[in-house]
Amino acid sequence: MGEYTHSVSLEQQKQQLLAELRFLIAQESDRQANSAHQLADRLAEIPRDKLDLTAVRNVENLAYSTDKVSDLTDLLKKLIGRDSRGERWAQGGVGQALLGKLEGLREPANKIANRLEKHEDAYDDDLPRRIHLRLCREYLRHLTAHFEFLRYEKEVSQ
Amino acid sequence: MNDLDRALKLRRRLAAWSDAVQPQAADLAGGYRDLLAKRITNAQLAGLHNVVQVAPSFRQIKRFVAHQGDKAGRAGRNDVQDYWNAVGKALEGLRRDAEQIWAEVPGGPPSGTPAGSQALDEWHCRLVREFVQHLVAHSLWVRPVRRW
Repeated sequence: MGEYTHSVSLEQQKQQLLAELRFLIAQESDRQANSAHQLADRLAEIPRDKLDLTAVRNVENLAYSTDKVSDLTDLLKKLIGRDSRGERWAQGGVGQALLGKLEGLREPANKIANRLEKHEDAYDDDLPRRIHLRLCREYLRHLTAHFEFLRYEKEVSQ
Repeated sequence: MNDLDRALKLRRRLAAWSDAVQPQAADLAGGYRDLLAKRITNAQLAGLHNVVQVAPSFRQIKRFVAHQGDKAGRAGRNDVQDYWNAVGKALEGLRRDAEQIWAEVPGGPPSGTPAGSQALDEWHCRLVREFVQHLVAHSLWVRPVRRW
């Protein structure tokens, strides 16, 4: 009986943590949207034959398929490093800015995790890292959506 | 713990380990920044990346890295030999992490048995693949030759 009571309460704690986590991530996501749009503006200035929608979507797709933030930062480092002419991801330091932004999301992720520590039994030490990944996904979603919108607008106006 | 639980736990543990070890791989690449691009070429880095992707055992990875170091030494490129020695040492050192993760997630073949040793070696190779991915990515990014 005691075990049952404990497992119900743990389940409840997990649900409470998830609900609060969802709310805090949504809040942070809205907060980061403008920054992502500004970066998308810079990316959209790169000629289409050098950086197309697929290239940007590839980064977003990886964010949703991986369980590691380092996979994302590794991809960006390779994209920047291979662009020796500075025509694509290295143009004007835009890839570098995105890399810095994604790495910088660790700070709000840690703040969110700190607020969730009160759910002691449901909290685990890996949570800040997973929140960081989720914030990266949100950021890249805003970035890709706005980039797609800008490219569409440009196409229509031509 | 059933097999699926164990696989999920290992996967999550690997992801956490990989994210945590990235700065260590970046430091290693950064320490040889001046050699990158000219003395340690993209082709060499791609070679390392390819070998760790397909090597069936850590012994083959070790042999490849040692061979790269020997080649550089014979050509009198001692700085490059130092680089490969440092890479070899770092990759070898991941064995300890592999053992630790393996011990944290029980349910695999017992260590000390042939099946246990093979499983641990495969796990070591998985850590090496993660480490080399970080090393190569950071090396491409940090190299000094930039034309923009």
